[in-house]
Amino acid sequence: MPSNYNKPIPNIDQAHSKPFWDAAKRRQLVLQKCSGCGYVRHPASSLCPECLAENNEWATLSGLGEIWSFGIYHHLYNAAFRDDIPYNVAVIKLEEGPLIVSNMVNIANENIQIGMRVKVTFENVTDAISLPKFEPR
Amino acid sequence: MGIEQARAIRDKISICGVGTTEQGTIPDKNGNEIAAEAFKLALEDAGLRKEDVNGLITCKSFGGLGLDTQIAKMLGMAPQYSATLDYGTCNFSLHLAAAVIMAGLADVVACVYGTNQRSNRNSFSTGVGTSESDAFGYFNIAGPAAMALRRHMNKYGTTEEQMGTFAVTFRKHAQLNPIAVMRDELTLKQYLESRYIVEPLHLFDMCLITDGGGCFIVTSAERAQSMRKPPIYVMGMAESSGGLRDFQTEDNLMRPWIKGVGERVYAASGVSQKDIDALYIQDPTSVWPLQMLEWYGFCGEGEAGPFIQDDRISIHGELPLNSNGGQLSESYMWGWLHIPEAVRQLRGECGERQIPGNPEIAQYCSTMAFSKAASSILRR
Repeated sequence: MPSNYNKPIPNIDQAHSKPFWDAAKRRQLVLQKCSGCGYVRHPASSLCPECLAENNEWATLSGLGEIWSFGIYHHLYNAAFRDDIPYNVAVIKLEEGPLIVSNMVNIANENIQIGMRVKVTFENVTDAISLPKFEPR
Repeated sequence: MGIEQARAIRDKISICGVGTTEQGTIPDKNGNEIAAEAFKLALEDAGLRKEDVNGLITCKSFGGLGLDTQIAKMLGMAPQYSATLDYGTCNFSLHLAAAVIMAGLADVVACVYGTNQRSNRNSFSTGVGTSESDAFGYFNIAGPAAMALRRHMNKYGTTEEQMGTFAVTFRKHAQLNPIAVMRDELTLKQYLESRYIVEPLHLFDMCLITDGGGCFIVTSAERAQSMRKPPIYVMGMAESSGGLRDFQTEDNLMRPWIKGVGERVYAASGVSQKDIDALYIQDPTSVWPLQMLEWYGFCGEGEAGPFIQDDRISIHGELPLNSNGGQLSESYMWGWLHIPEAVRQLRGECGERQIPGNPEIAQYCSTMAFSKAASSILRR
Protein backbone atom coordinates (compact mmCIF):
# COMPACT_ATOMS: atom_id res chain seq x y z
CA MET A 1 0.00 0.00 0.00
CA PRO A 2 1.60 3.28 -1.02
CA SER A 3 2.07 5.43 2.04
CA ASN A 4 3.06 8.55 0.17
CA TYR A 5 0.00 9.02 -2.07
CA ASN A 6 -0.03 12.72 -2.78
CA LYS A 7 -2.69 13.02 -5.49
CA PRO A 8 -6.00 14.75 -4.67
CA ILE A 9 -8.28 12.46 -2.73
CA PRO A 10 -12.06 12.64 -2.57
CA ASN A 11 -13.81 13.61 0.64
CA ILE A 12 -15.15 10.21 1.63
CA ASP A 13 -16.99 11.30 4.76
CA GLN A 14 -19.71 13.53 3.35
CA ALA A 15 -23.07 12.11 4.41
CA HIS A 16 -24.67 11.97 0.97
CA SER A 17 -21.72 10.25 -0.75
CA LYS A 18 -20.16 8.14 2.02
CA PRO A 19 -21.95 4.94 0.89
CA PHE A 20 -20.27 5.26 -2.53
CA TRP A 21 -16.81 5.20 -0.96
CA ASP A 22 -17.68 2.50 1.58
CA ALA A 23 -18.83 0.29 -1.30
CA ALA A 24 -15.71 1.06 -3.33
CA LYS A 25 -13.64 -0.25 -0.42
CA ARG A 26 -15.66 -3.48 -0.76
CA ARG A 27 -14.96 -3.43 -4.53
CA GLN A 28 -18.54 -2.61 -5.42
CA LEU A 29 -19.85 0.19 -7.62
CA VAL A 30 -23.03 1.72 -6.19
CA LEU A 31 -25.06 4.77 -7.08
CA GLN A 32 -28.23 6.31 -5.72
CA LYS A 33 -31.47 5.04 -7.22
CA CYS A 34 -34.45 7.30 -6.56
CA SER A 35 -37.27 5.70 -4.56
CA GLY A 36 -39.72 8.03 -6.26
CA CYS A 37 -38.97 7.53 -9.96
CA GLY A 38 -36.15 4.97 -10.20
CA TYR A 39 -33.65 7.40 -11.77
CA VAL A 40 -30.02 6.43 -11.12
CA ARG A 41 -27.98 9.53 -10.38
CA HIS A 42 -24.38 10.66 -10.35
CA PRO A 43 -22.79 12.61 -8.76
CA ALA A 44 -24.17 11.90 -5.29
CA SER A 45 -26.87 14.24 -4.17
CA SER A 46 -29.48 14.39 -1.43
CA LEU A 47 -32.16 15.18 -4.01
CA CYS A 48 -33.29 13.37 -7.16
CA PRO A 49 -32.67 15.77 -10.05
CA GLU A 50 -35.59 14.25 -11.98
CA CYS A 51 -38.46 14.25 -9.48
CA LEU A 52 -36.86 16.07 -6.49
CA ALA A 53 -37.63 13.18 -4.09
CA GLU A 54 -35.17 12.75 -1.26
CA ASN A 55 -35.63 9.03 -0.57
CA ASN A 56 -33.24 6.78 -2.39
CA GLU A 57 -31.47 3.47 -2.09
CA TRP A 58 -27.89 2.77 -3.02
CA ALA A 59 -28.15 0.27 -5.89
CA THR A 60 -25.28 -2.06 -6.71
CA LEU A 61 -24.39 -1.61 -10.36
CA SER A 62 -23.06 -4.16 -12.81
CA GLY A 63 -19.79 -2.24 -13.15
CA LEU A 64 -20.12 -2.54 -16.91
CA GLY A 65 -20.12 0.29 -19.40
CA GLU A 66 -18.46 1.71 -22.47
CA ILE A 67 -16.08 4.59 -23.14
CA TRP A 68 -18.04 7.73 -24.00
CA SER A 69 -14.89 9.77 -24.56
CA PHE A 70 -11.40 10.30 -23.22
CA GLY A 71 -8.47 12.70 -23.25
CA ILE A 72 -4.76 12.10 -22.88
CA TYR A 73 -3.09 14.64 -20.60
CA HIS A 74 0.34 15.64 -21.89
CA HIS A 75 0.43 18.90 -19.92
CA LEU A 76 1.08 18.66 -16.20
CA TYR A 77 -1.56 20.56 -14.25
CA ASN A 78 -0.87 18.99 -10.86
CA ALA A 79 2.65 18.00 -9.80
CA ALA A 80 1.39 14.81 -8.16
CA PHE A 81 0.69 13.40 -11.62
CA ARG A 82 4.20 14.00 -12.95
CA ASP A 83 5.13 10.33 -13.18
CA ASP A 84 1.89 9.48 -15.00
CA ILE A 85 2.26 11.92 -17.91
CA PRO A 86 0.88 11.20 -20.47
CA TYR A 87 -2.16 9.88 -18.60
CA ASN A 88 -5.73 9.25 -19.71
CA VAL A 89 -8.97 10.50 -18.22
CA ALA A 90 -12.07 8.79 -19.54
CA VAL A 91 -15.79 9.40 -19.25
CA ILE A 92 -17.53 6.04 -18.97
CA LYS A 93 -21.20 5.53 -19.81
CA LEU A 94 -22.42 2.94 -17.35
CA GLU A 95 -24.99 0.33 -18.41
CA GLU A 96 -27.47 1.86 -16.00
CA GLY A 97 -27.21 5.26 -17.66
CA PRO A 98 -24.99 7.68 -15.74
CA LEU A 99 -21.69 9.04 -17.01
CA ILE A 100 -18.72 8.81 -14.66
CA VAL A 101 -15.19 10.28 -14.84
CA SER A 102 -12.35 7.87 -14.21
CA ASN A 103 -9.11 6.47 -15.65
CA MET A 104 -8.61 3.48 -17.92
CA VAL A 105 -6.08 0.97 -16.60
CA ASN A 106 -4.47 -2.17 -18.04
CA ILE A 107 -4.43 -0.65 -21.50
CA ALA A 108 -1.96 1.53 -23.41
CA ASN A 109 -3.25 5.06 -24.10
CA GLU A 110 -2.90 4.51 -27.86
CA ASN A 111 -5.32 1.59 -27.76
CA ILE A 112 -8.17 3.38 -26.00
CA GLN A 113 -11.17 3.94 -28.25
CA ILE A 114 -14.60 5.51 -27.97
CA GLY A 115 -17.19 2.76 -27.65
CA MET A 116 -14.80 0.26 -26.08
CA ARG A 117 -16.59 -2.04 -23.61
CA VAL A 118 -15.22 -1.75 -20.09
CA LYS A 119 -15.67 -3.07 -16.57
CA VAL A 120 -14.90 -1.50 -13.23
CA THR A 121 -11.91 -2.37 -11.11
CA PHE A 122 -10.73 -0.79 -7.88
CA GLU A 123 -7.40 0.76 -6.96
CA ASN A 124 -6.54 0.97 -3.27
CA VAL A 125 -4.76 4.30 -3.13
CA THR A 126 -4.68 4.71 0.65
CA ASP A 127 -5.78 2.57 3.64
CA ALA A 128 -9.11 4.35 3.64
CA ILE A 129 -9.77 5.01 -0.05
CA SER A 130 -10.30 2.83 -3.09
CA LEU A 131 -10.90 4.52 -6.44
CA PRO A 132 -13.10 2.95 -9.13
CA LYS A 133 -11.17 2.67 -12.40
CA PHE A 134 -12.01 0.84 -15.61
CA GLU A 135 -10.38 -1.77 -17.80
CA PRO A 136 -11.28 -3.40 -21.11
CA ARG A 137 -13.55 -6.42 -21.13
CA MET B 1 -42.70 31.77 -25.34
CA GLY B 2 -41.69 35.38 -24.98
CA ILE B 3 -40.70 35.98 -28.60
CA GLU B 4 -42.91 39.07 -28.80
CA GLN B 5 -41.29 40.28 -25.61
CA ALA B 6 -37.83 39.55 -27.04
CA ARG B 7 -38.68 41.44 -30.23
CA ALA B 8 -39.92 44.41 -28.23
CA ILE B 9 -36.37 45.45 -27.40
CA ARG B 10 -35.19 45.44 -31.00
CA ASP B 11 -33.32 48.63 -31.81
CA LYS B 12 -34.24 50.21 -28.46
CA ILE B 13 -30.88 49.61 -26.83
CA SER B 14 -27.51 50.92 -28.01
CA ILE B 15 -23.88 50.47 -27.25
CA CYS B 16 -22.50 54.00 -27.25
CA GLY B 17 -18.93 53.56 -26.08
CA VAL B 18 -16.23 50.91 -25.87
CA GLY B 19 -12.83 50.82 -24.19
CA THR B 20 -10.09 48.22 -24.25
CA THR B 21 -6.80 48.49 -22.39
CA GLU B 22 -3.44 47.16 -23.52
CA GLN B 23 -3.42 43.37 -23.26
CA GLY B 24 -0.72 40.99 -22.15
CA THR B 25 1.38 41.60 -19.09
CA ILE B 26 0.44 44.47 -16.76
CA PRO B 27 2.35 43.76 -13.56
CA ASP B 28 1.80 47.04 -11.79
CA LYS B 29 -2.01 47.09 -11.71
CA ASN B 30 -4.54 44.77 -10.15
CA GLY B 31 -7.65 43.57 -11.98
CA ASN B 32 -9.86 46.35 -10.61
CA GLU B 33 -7.38 49.06 -11.58
CA ILE B 34 -7.28 47.63 -15.10
CA ALA B 35 -11.10 47.58 -15.18
CA ALA B 36 -11.12 51.23 -14.10
CA GLU B 37 -8.77 52.10 -16.94
CA ALA B 38 -11.08 50.36 -19.44
CA PHE B 39 -14.00 52.34 -18.00
CA LYS B 40 -12.18 55.65 -18.51
CA LEU B 41 -11.38 54.70 -22.11
CA ALA B 42 -15.03 53.83 -22.78
CA LEU B 43 -16.20 57.15 -21.29
CA GLU B 44 -13.81 59.00 -23.58
CA ASP B 45 -15.02 56.97 -26.59
CA ALA B 46 -18.63 57.83 -25.76
CA GLY B 47 -17.93 61.45 -24.92
CA LEU B 48 -19.41 60.94 -21.46
CA ARG B 49 -18.34 61.87 -17.97
CA LYS B 50 -18.47 59.50 -15.02
CA GLU B 51 -21.45 61.49 -13.68
CA ASP B 52 -23.50 60.55 -16.76
CA VAL B 53 -23.29 56.83 -15.91
CA ASN B 54 -25.95 55.62 -13.46
CA GLY B 55 -25.65 51.86 -13.88
CA LEU B 56 -22.70 49.56 -13.27
CA ILE B 57 -22.35 45.87 -14.08
CA THR B 58 -19.00 44.33 -13.21
CA CYS B 59 -17.67 40.84 -13.64
CA LYS B 60 -15.79 38.76 -11.10
CA SER B 61 -12.14 38.19 -11.77
CA PHE B 62 -9.51 36.08 -10.06
CA GLY B 63 -8.38 36.81 -6.55
CA GLY B 64 -11.75 37.95 -5.21
CA LEU B 65 -11.77 41.02 -7.43
CA GLY B 66 -14.31 42.42 -9.84
CA LEU B 67 -17.09 43.07 -7.34
CA ASP B 68 -19.32 46.01 -8.17
CA THR B 69 -19.00 47.31 -4.63
CA GLN B 70 -15.20 47.44 -4.91
CA ILE B 71 -15.16 49.01 -8.36
CA ALA B 72 -17.91 51.57 -7.64
CA LYS B 73 -15.94 52.64 -4.58
CA MET B 74 -12.74 52.95 -6.57
CA LEU B 75 -14.52 55.01 -9.23
CA GLY B 76 -16.26 57.15 -6.62
CA MET B 77 -19.67 56.23 -8.02
CA ALA B 78 -23.04 55.53 -6.39
CA PRO B 79 -25.00 54.10 -9.33
CA GLN B 80 -28.77 53.69 -9.18
CA TYR B 81 -28.25 50.17 -10.44
CA SER B 82 -25.21 48.12 -9.51
CA ALA B 83 -24.51 44.40 -9.89
CA THR B 84 -21.70 41.83 -10.17
CA LEU B 85 -21.92 38.94 -12.60
CA ASP B 86 -20.03 35.73 -12.06
CA TYR B 87 -18.97 35.46 -15.66
CA GLY B 88 -20.09 38.21 -17.96
CA THR B 89 -18.40 37.34 -21.28
CA CYS B 90 -19.90 40.61 -22.57
CA ASN B 91 -23.11 38.84 -23.61
CA PHE B 92 -24.52 38.09 -20.17
CA SER B 93 -23.56 41.60 -19.06
CA LEU B 94 -25.06 43.24 -22.15
CA HIS B 95 -28.32 41.35 -21.65
CA LEU B 96 -28.56 42.42 -18.03
CA ALA B 97 -27.77 46.03 -18.98
CA ALA B 98 -30.51 45.96 -21.64
CA ALA B 99 -33.03 44.56 -19.14
CA VAL B 100 -32.05 47.21 -16.58
CA ILE B 101 -32.55 50.02 -19.09
CA MET B 102 -35.86 48.63 -20.39
CA ALA B 103 -37.07 48.35 -16.79
CA GLY B 104 -36.13 51.94 -16.09
CA LEU B 105 -33.67 51.05 -13.34
CA ALA B 106 -30.90 53.09 -14.96
CA ASP B 107 -30.32 54.74 -18.31
CA VAL B 108 -26.59 54.67 -18.93
CA VAL B 109 -24.98 51.40 -17.86
CA ALA B 110 -21.27 50.59 -17.92
CA CYS B 111 -20.33 46.91 -18.20
CA VAL B 112 -16.76 46.38 -17.17
CA TYR B 113 -14.11 43.68 -16.65
CA GLY B 114 -10.45 43.63 -15.79
CA THR B 115 -7.97 40.97 -14.75
CA ASN B 116 -4.32 40.56 -13.93
CA GLN B 117 -4.49 36.77 -13.96
CA ARG B 118 -1.20 36.52 -15.84
CA SER B 119 0.94 38.73 -13.62
CA ASN B 120 -0.77 37.27 -10.59
CA ARG B 121 0.06 33.77 -11.85
CA ASN B 122 -3.43 32.56 -11.10
CA SER B 123 -3.87 28.83 -11.37
CA PHE B 124 -5.89 27.28 -14.16
CA SER B 125 -5.18 23.82 -12.84
CA THR B 126 -8.36 23.39 -10.88
CA GLY B 127 -10.65 20.44 -11.37
CA VAL B 128 -13.44 20.62 -13.90
CA GLY B 129 -15.69 17.68 -13.07
CA THR B 130 -17.31 16.79 -9.78
CA SER B 131 -15.45 17.36 -6.53
CA GLU B 132 -14.16 13.78 -6.84
CA SER B 133 -12.81 13.86 -10.36
CA ASP B 134 -9.64 15.69 -9.27
CA ALA B 135 -8.57 12.28 -7.99
CA PHE B 136 -8.43 11.08 -11.60
CA GLY B 137 -6.45 14.08 -12.84
CA TYR B 138 -9.35 15.83 -14.57
CA PHE B 139 -8.11 19.42 -14.58
CA ASN B 140 -8.59 22.52 -16.71
CA ILE B 141 -11.13 23.25 -19.43
CA ALA B 142 -8.80 21.44 -21.86
CA GLY B 143 -9.98 18.12 -20.36
CA PRO B 144 -13.68 18.32 -21.27
CA ALA B 145 -12.89 20.25 -24.46
CA ALA B 146 -10.57 17.46 -25.62
CA MET B 147 -13.24 14.88 -24.85
CA ALA B 148 -15.83 16.81 -26.86
CA LEU B 149 -13.41 17.14 -29.77
CA ARG B 150 -12.59 13.46 -29.75
CA ARG B 151 -16.27 12.57 -29.96
CA HIS B 152 -16.69 15.03 -32.82
CA MET B 153 -13.73 13.46 -34.64
CA ASN B 154 -15.05 9.98 -33.97
CA LYS B 155 -18.57 10.76 -35.15
CA TYR B 156 -17.88 13.06 -38.11
CA GLY B 157 -14.29 12.41 -39.16
CA THR B 158 -13.10 15.92 -38.21
CA THR B 159 -9.30 16.03 -38.48
CA GLU B 160 -6.55 17.88 -36.67
CA GLU B 161 -5.64 19.58 -39.96
CA GLN B 162 -9.15 20.99 -40.17
CA MET B 163 -9.08 22.10 -36.51
CA GLY B 164 -5.80 23.93 -37.10
CA THR B 165 -7.61 26.35 -39.39
CA PHE B 166 -9.09 28.16 -36.38
CA ALA B 167 -5.72 28.89 -34.78
CA VAL B 168 -4.06 29.80 -38.08
CA THR B 169 -6.89 32.10 -39.19
CA PHE B 170 -7.26 33.90 -35.85
CA ARG B 171 -3.49 34.45 -35.77
CA LYS B 172 -3.63 36.15 -39.17
CA HIS B 173 -6.32 38.46 -37.82
CA ALA B 174 -4.31 39.17 -34.68
CA GLN B 175 -1.33 40.20 -36.78
CA LEU B 176 -3.46 43.12 -38.00
CA ASN B 177 -4.70 44.02 -34.50
CA PRO B 178 -2.53 46.49 -32.56
CA ILE B 179 -3.63 45.25 -29.14
CA ALA B 180 -3.26 41.53 -29.90
CA VAL B 181 -0.69 39.67 -27.84
CA MET B 182 0.32 36.94 -30.29
CA ARG B 183 1.49 38.37 -33.59
CA ASP B 184 4.11 35.95 -34.88
CA GLU B 185 3.18 33.95 -37.95
CA LEU B 186 1.50 30.63 -37.24
CA THR B 187 1.39 28.01 -39.97
CA LEU B 188 -0.66 24.82 -40.07
CA LYS B 189 2.58 22.86 -39.89
CA GLN B 190 3.58 24.65 -36.66
CA TYR B 191 0.10 23.98 -35.28
CA LEU B 192 0.31 20.25 -36.04
CA GLU B 193 3.83 19.96 -34.66
CA SER B 194 2.98 21.81 -31.44
CA ARG B 195 2.72 19.71 -28.33
CA TYR B 196 -0.58 18.25 -27.17
CA ILE B 197 -2.04 19.79 -24.04
CA VAL B 198 -4.82 17.24 -23.63
CA GLU B 199 -4.80 15.12 -26.77
CA PRO B 200 -6.25 15.80 -29.32
CA LEU B 201 -6.00 19.51 -28.36
CA HIS B 202 -2.73 21.14 -29.36
CA LEU B 203 -1.00 24.07 -27.64
CA PHE B 204 -2.38 26.47 -30.25
CA ASP B 205 -5.95 25.32 -29.65
CA MET B 206 -5.77 26.83 -26.19
CA CYS B 207 -6.37 30.48 -25.35
CA LEU B 208 -3.68 32.66 -23.83
CA ILE B 209 -3.38 33.69 -20.20
CA THR B 210 -3.21 37.47 -20.20
CA ASP B 211 -3.86 40.64 -18.24
CA GLY B 212 -6.20 43.31 -19.56
CA GLY B 213 -9.62 44.91 -19.39
CA GLY B 214 -12.63 45.87 -21.44
CA CYS B 215 -15.68 48.05 -21.01
CA PHE B 216 -18.74 49.01 -23.00
CA ILE B 217 -21.44 51.53 -22.21
CA VAL B 218 -25.07 50.77 -22.93
CA THR B 219 -27.95 53.21 -23.14
CA SER B 220 -31.28 53.66 -24.86
CA ALA B 221 -31.21 54.15 -28.62
CA GLU B 222 -32.73 57.58 -28.06
CA ARG B 223 -30.00 58.71 -25.68
CA ALA B 224 -27.30 57.33 -27.97
CA GLN B 225 -28.26 59.67 -30.81
CA SER B 226 -26.58 62.61 -29.09
CA MET B 227 -23.30 60.87 -28.34
CA ARG B 228 -19.91 61.07 -30.02
CA LYS B 229 -20.00 57.93 -32.12
CA PRO B 230 -22.71 56.37 -34.29
CA PRO B 231 -24.85 54.12 -32.08
CA ILE B 232 -24.67 50.36 -32.45
CA TYR B 233 -28.11 48.86 -31.84
CA VAL B 234 -28.98 45.60 -30.16
CA MET B 235 -31.29 43.69 -32.53
CA GLY B 236 -31.87 40.67 -30.32
CA MET B 237 -30.59 38.59 -27.42
CA ALA B 238 -31.05 35.03 -26.14
CA GLU B 239 -29.63 32.77 -23.46
CA SER B 240 -29.89 29.26 -22.14
CA SER B 241 -28.54 27.24 -19.27
CA GLY B 242 -28.92 23.82 -20.82
CA GLY B 243 -25.76 22.36 -19.46
CA LEU B 244 -26.59 22.36 -15.77
CA ARG B 245 -27.68 18.72 -16.06
CA ASP B 246 -24.08 18.14 -17.06
CA PHE B 247 -23.04 14.62 -16.14
CA GLN B 248 -26.49 13.19 -16.33
CA THR B 249 -26.95 13.47 -20.03
CA GLU B 250 -25.24 12.26 -23.18
CA ASP B 251 -25.45 15.85 -24.41
CA ASN B 252 -22.76 16.49 -21.83
CA LEU B 253 -19.92 18.43 -23.49
CA MET B 254 -21.46 18.33 -27.00
CA ARG B 255 -23.97 21.08 -26.12
CA PRO B 256 -26.78 20.59 -28.67
CA TRP B 257 -28.98 22.63 -26.33
CA ILE B 258 -27.22 25.69 -27.79
CA LYS B 259 -29.46 25.28 -30.85
CA GLY B 260 -32.28 26.80 -28.82
CA VAL B 261 -30.28 29.97 -28.20
CA GLY B 262 -29.72 30.27 -31.94
CA GLU B 263 -33.40 29.83 -32.77
CA ARG B 264 -34.43 32.45 -30.23
CA VAL B 265 -31.81 35.06 -31.09
CA TYR B 266 -32.66 34.93 -34.81
CA ALA B 267 -36.40 35.03 -34.08
CA ALA B 268 -35.90 37.99 -31.74
CA SER B 269 -33.66 39.87 -34.21
CA GLY B 270 -35.63 39.14 -37.37
CA VAL B 271 -32.45 38.11 -39.21
CA SER B 272 -30.84 34.76 -39.99
CA GLN B 273 -27.35 33.33 -40.33
CA LYS B 274 -26.93 34.58 -43.90
CA ASP B 275 -27.39 38.19 -42.71
CA ILE B 276 -24.42 38.05 -40.34
CA ASP B 277 -21.51 40.08 -41.75
CA ALA B 278 -19.19 39.65 -38.78
CA LEU B 279 -19.30 36.68 -36.40
CA TYR B 280 -17.68 36.43 -32.99
CA ILE B 281 -17.42 33.23 -31.01
CA GLN B 282 -15.79 33.20 -27.58
CA ASP B 283 -12.86 30.80 -27.88
CA PRO B 284 -11.27 29.44 -24.69
CA THR B 285 -10.33 26.56 -27.00
CA SER B 286 -11.00 25.97 -30.72
CA VAL B 287 -13.71 23.49 -29.74
CA TRP B 288 -16.03 26.43 -28.99
CA PRO B 289 -16.16 27.80 -32.54
CA LEU B 290 -16.26 24.21 -33.86
CA GLN B 291 -19.43 23.49 -31.90
CA MET B 292 -21.09 26.89 -32.20
CA LEU B 293 -20.79 27.18 -35.97
CA GLU B 294 -22.89 24.01 -36.04
CA TRP B 295 -25.36 24.72 -33.25
CA TYR B 296 -26.09 28.25 -34.50
CA GLY B 297 -26.73 26.75 -37.94
CA PHE B 298 -23.95 28.34 -39.99
CA CYS B 299 -23.28 24.83 -41.25
CA GLY B 300 -24.81 21.41 -40.67
CA GLU B 301 -24.09 19.24 -37.66
CA GLY B 302 -20.65 17.68 -37.96
CA GLU B 303 -19.69 19.89 -40.91
CA ALA B 304 -17.68 22.66 -39.23
CA GLY B 305 -14.32 21.04 -40.11
CA PRO B 306 -14.80 21.26 -43.90
CA PHE B 307 -16.90 24.46 -43.59
CA ILE B 308 -14.01 26.59 -42.28
CA GLN B 309 -11.62 25.65 -45.08
CA ASP B 310 -10.68 27.79 -48.09
CA ASP B 311 -10.51 31.02 -46.09
CA ARG B 312 -14.23 31.08 -45.47
CA ILE B 313 -13.79 32.45 -41.92
CA SER B 314 -11.04 34.94 -42.74
CA ILE B 315 -11.83 38.67 -42.69
CA HIS B 316 -11.82 38.53 -46.49
CA GLY B 317 -14.04 35.46 -46.58
CA GLU B 318 -17.73 34.76 -46.65
CA LEU B 319 -18.11 34.61 -42.84
CA PRO B 320 -15.42 36.62 -41.05
CA LEU B 321 -14.92 35.04 -37.63
CA ASN B 322 -13.12 36.67 -34.70
CA SER B 323 -11.60 39.52 -36.68
CA ASN B 324 -9.70 40.52 -33.53
CA GLY B 325 -7.79 37.24 -33.34
CA GLY B 326 -10.00 35.82 -30.60
CA GLN B 327 -8.78 34.46 -27.30
CA LEU B 328 -6.38 32.21 -29.14
CA SER B 329 -4.31 35.16 -30.34
CA GLU B 330 -5.67 38.54 -29.17
CA SER B 331 -6.10 38.06 -25.44
CA TYR B 332 -7.92 35.90 -22.91
CA MET B 333 -10.54 38.15 -21.47
CA TRP B 334 -13.36 35.68 -20.69
CA GLY B 335 -14.93 36.82 -23.97
CA TRP B 336 -14.79 40.53 -23.07
CA LEU B 337 -13.11 41.85 -26.20
CA HIS B 338 -15.43 40.38 -28.80
CA ILE B 339 -18.22 42.96 -28.38
CA PRO B 340 -15.85 45.97 -28.45
CA GLU B 341 -14.39 44.51 -31.66
CA ALA B 342 -17.85 43.94 -33.17
CA VAL B 343 -18.80 47.54 -32.34
CA ARG B 344 -15.59 48.91 -33.88
CA GLN B 345 -16.03 46.83 -37.04
CA LEU B 346 -19.62 48.04 -37.46
CA ARG B 347 -18.38 51.62 -36.98
CA GLY B 348 -15.67 51.08 -39.60
CA GLU B 349 -12.83 51.85 -37.18
CA CYS B 350 -10.65 48.78 -37.62
CA GLY B 351 -8.01 49.97 -40.04
CA GLU B 352 -5.95 47.14 -41.49
CA ARG B 353 -8.26 44.44 -40.13
CA GLN B 354 -11.51 46.17 -41.18
CA ILE B 355 -13.89 43.66 -42.73
CA PRO B 356 -14.50 44.82 -46.30
CA GLY B 357 -17.94 45.71 -47.65
CA ASN B 358 -19.21 47.91 -44.80
CA PRO B 359 -20.43 45.22 -42.39
CA GLU B 360 -23.89 45.99 -41.08
CA ILE B 361 -24.80 43.14 -38.72
CA ALA B 362 -22.62 41.33 -36.18
CA GLN B 363 -23.35 38.38 -33.90
CA TYR B 364 -21.57 37.27 -30.75
CA CYS B 365 -21.90 33.79 -29.24
CA SER B 366 -20.44 32.91 -25.86
CA THR B 367 -20.80 30.41 -23.03
CA MET B 368 -20.08 30.00 -19.37
CA ALA B 369 -17.93 26.88 -19.59
CA PHE B 370 -20.24 24.00 -20.49
CA SER B 371 -23.24 25.19 -18.53
CA LYS B 372 -24.72 28.36 -20.06
CA ALA B 373 -24.82 30.06 -23.46
CA ALA B 374 -25.76 33.50 -24.72
CA SER B 375 -25.91 35.34 -28.02
CA SER B 376 -26.45 38.93 -29.13
CA ILE B 377 -27.01 40.38 -32.58
CA LEU B 378 -25.93 43.98 -33.18
CA ARG B 379 -26.32 46.35 -36.11
CA ARG B 380 -25.16 49.78 -37.10
